Amino acid sequence: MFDLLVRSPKFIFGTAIVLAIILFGIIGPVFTRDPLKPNPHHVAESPSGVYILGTGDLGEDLFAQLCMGTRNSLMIGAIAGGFATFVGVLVGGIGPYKSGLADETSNAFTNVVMVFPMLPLLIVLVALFGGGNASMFLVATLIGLTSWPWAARCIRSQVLTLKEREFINVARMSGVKGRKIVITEIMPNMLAYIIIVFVVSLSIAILTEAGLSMIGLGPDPSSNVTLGTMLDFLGTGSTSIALPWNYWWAFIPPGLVLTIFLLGVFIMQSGMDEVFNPRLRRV
Amino acid sequence: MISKTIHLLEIKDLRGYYRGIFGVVRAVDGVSLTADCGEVVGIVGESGCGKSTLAQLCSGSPSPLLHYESGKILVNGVDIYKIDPEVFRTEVKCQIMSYIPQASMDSLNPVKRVRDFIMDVMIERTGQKLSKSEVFKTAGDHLEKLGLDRGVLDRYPHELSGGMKQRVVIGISTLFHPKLLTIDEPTSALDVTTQKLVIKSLVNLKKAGIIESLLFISHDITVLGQLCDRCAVMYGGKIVEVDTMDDTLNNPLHPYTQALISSVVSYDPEKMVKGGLKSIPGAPPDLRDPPPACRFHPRCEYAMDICQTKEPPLEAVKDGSEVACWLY
Amino acid sequence: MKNPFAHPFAKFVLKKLFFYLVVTFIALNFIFLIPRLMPGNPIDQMIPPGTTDPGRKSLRAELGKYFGLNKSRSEQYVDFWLNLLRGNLGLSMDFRPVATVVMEKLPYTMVLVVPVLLVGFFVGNWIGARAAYIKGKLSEAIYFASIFASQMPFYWFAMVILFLLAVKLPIFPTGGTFSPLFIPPLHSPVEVFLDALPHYGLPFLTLLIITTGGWASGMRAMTLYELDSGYILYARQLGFRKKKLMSYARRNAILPQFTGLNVNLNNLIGMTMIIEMVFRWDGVGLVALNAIKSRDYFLILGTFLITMVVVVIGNFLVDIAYGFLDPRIRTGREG
Repeated sequence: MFDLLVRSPKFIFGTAIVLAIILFGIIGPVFTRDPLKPNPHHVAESPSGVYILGTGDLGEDLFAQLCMGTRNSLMIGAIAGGFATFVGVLVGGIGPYKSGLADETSNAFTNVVMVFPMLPLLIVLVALFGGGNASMFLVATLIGLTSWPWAARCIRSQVLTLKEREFINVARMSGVKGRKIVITEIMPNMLAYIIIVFVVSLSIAILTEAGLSMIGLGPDPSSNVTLGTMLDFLGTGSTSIALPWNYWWAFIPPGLVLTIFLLGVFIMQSGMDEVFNPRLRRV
Repeated sequence: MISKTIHLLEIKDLRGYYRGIFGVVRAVDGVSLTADCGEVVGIVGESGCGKSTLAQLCSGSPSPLLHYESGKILVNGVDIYKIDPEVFRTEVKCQIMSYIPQASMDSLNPVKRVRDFIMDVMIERTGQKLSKSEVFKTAGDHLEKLGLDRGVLDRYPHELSGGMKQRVVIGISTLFHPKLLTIDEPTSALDVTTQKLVIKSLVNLKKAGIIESLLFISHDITVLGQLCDRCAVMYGGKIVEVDTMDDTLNNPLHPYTQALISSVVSYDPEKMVKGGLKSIPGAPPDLRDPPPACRFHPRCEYAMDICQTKEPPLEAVKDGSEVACWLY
Repeated sequence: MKNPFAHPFAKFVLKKLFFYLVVTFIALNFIFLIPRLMPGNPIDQMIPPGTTDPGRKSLRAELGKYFGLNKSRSEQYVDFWLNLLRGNLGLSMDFRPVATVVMEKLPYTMVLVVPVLLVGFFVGNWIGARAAYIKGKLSEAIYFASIFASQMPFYWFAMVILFLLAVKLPIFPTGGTFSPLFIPPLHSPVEVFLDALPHYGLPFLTLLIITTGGWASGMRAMTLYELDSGYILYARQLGFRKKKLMSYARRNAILPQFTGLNVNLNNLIGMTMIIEMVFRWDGVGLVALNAIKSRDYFLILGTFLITMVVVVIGNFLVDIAYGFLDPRIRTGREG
């Protein structure tokens, strides 16, 4: 499986983009100034040699914000994505293997949760439990809680496909117990798939977090910077860039970083699709 | 009447490879075969030997990953890979030769009723819009010859059983009375009773003159035994033996053929006691990297030194039989 | 005369109906539970207990009654359902019934959601199907454009569009539903429509581009996938023209797209709400935004409830439409 993956040009390209941004997020903040430090002498400046991306309305270094923001967004994405994947594997993986009641229940459960519109639900949850000074961890957990059905659905379909394959029947006939089969036979084959589900969940989470931050429901902006808080201009949070449309340098870069990251993940995913799809089609 | 010097189907040194990100698979690597009017020729071999690939190449429209590399396929003397594709589509396909792929269960459009699909087939082939009643009458008559009830026309594919779908597909492929019908593993997914029905339908079609020749591909030699005149055995992308059907069953020449016959359970108790049930050790070759020289030599119990260095050519041994083996 | 309820399609409809009723029931319980799981109680959070202002005091009293502050959980539960049946969703901070506030603004949201949903679906799938057919530069360009459009963070895209088309090039107004000083009840419906139109343009456009992009790339992939199926290969063997093959592929590829329509609807509701916040379009989203700002919990919950109902109804309708279009479901499994 892995050898085919690394030969897929799409997969490599997508992974490269994703890794580049992750690297940016990890290393960037080390070399830049404190992103939250206000500097009254340089308020709302457009990009210059000193401030690569200019400054915000309180004089913050926006490039520093971009670096730190990338790192924090990635962290939130990782936590939320990990949570969603974990629950997805539990609900989507165990259920279909032991078919019958367990499968029906987990599937029904997934279907029910899927109908809930994610964003309005999150708005309710964060508003009620966050109270304006939400921590990044809280936001990440809530996002994970609302986005797992998608992961569960993906995992379930993969498990169902694998389940039909010959070697499972052989294992079953030789008397190995259900749960053991899942762990020793199915899961290793699913590893690569689970990883991609995680990465996509991560990117969905980042997207969602940015959306929440933008309306002021994200992590507390006075102590955290994420790519989303940089976009917050509606003044619901405490760092607000009142009229971003004159400050294009303030909101274009974070959005670009997000878009490029998401594109990278998408290319990765379509590379993987070509490998996992048995009808190895080359356009 | 076709003169004896032009075969209905002539394949000369055909090569067809699959190309994809998995590498290059030499599925058909230098195959030569002929079929004449009125013959039923069977092609037998294990999974992965290239027989389906051969059939696809013969149909002229190989699946997207399969590439025709070299060699000739002549149908009625015309090289189908050299003529204009549009001419091929309108003149040759379905009229002169027709191909029924494996897994015919999936060959019917799931969202169309059988009669609507047949309507489409007629329109696409004749380029004219025909009246519904005409089409349905012709189609209904034709399907009845295959033992199907006219009511099948009104159904959706998912409402039909496997055997019925198979016969519908056979019916559609033979609507225009092609001279040569190539059919790939029609019986594999069916139970024995339905298998007999399908085979009987094919025999009926031939008797009724709707088809003249049949190229029948299967891994199950007992099925071939029921209707073929001649039989070709394929292994590892090459043909290893060509005989009359009786000779193949009773007097197999190539070691692989012999092993194949003896691994089949037969009702003849004498044969069983004599030969026992043998299986062939080893596994079929990976056609990305086939064994050098004779492709069967790693599994052959008669393998000699020359088998590993030079590839045996397919040569006539006695009248009607050809073998590719250094034993002859 | 066969029993109509025995017909497989009727069974299908009933099954779906049951499912959605269950979902709604769970959602309503959820709405009951959530404010009671908050730290403290929502009323105190909204209006501090020590307030002296008489207006706010009476609001506290009203809300307390609705919430059932001094009653037991089970009494609260019963009250909740009774209130629901009467259409009482509590009061908002400005003393108006939540239900009224939300329902007033709902049409403005739906006028964005429904057209985008329908136009996006049809146009997007049409583009996607055609893109699968044309090879070459144009197809690749369409593909990349639709991917890019669907992967952008939509709220960011909204900001970019706002910046480009309303600030840099003042083609569209920068926000709001109507022009400043325009009071709808004072004007005829035609005037109202015309005034709102330019304000409608940008939010509609933003949502449309993103949605269409998503459908186009998905449909292209699905169509290409279908082109590999048995029946297409067989039809090719039979000598079908390419045009006809594509039409077969399309007809089959569109079916699974319908399942995506449900997901799209759910996402679209959320997206529209946020887009409304960006463009200050006076719909349910803007209501929610203001509710968030003023910590108006009952209004937030009410918004969620109404949104949920819209989603459930929409999903149900889509499921039925899909069941009707797929002959396998329509005729059930016979033979």
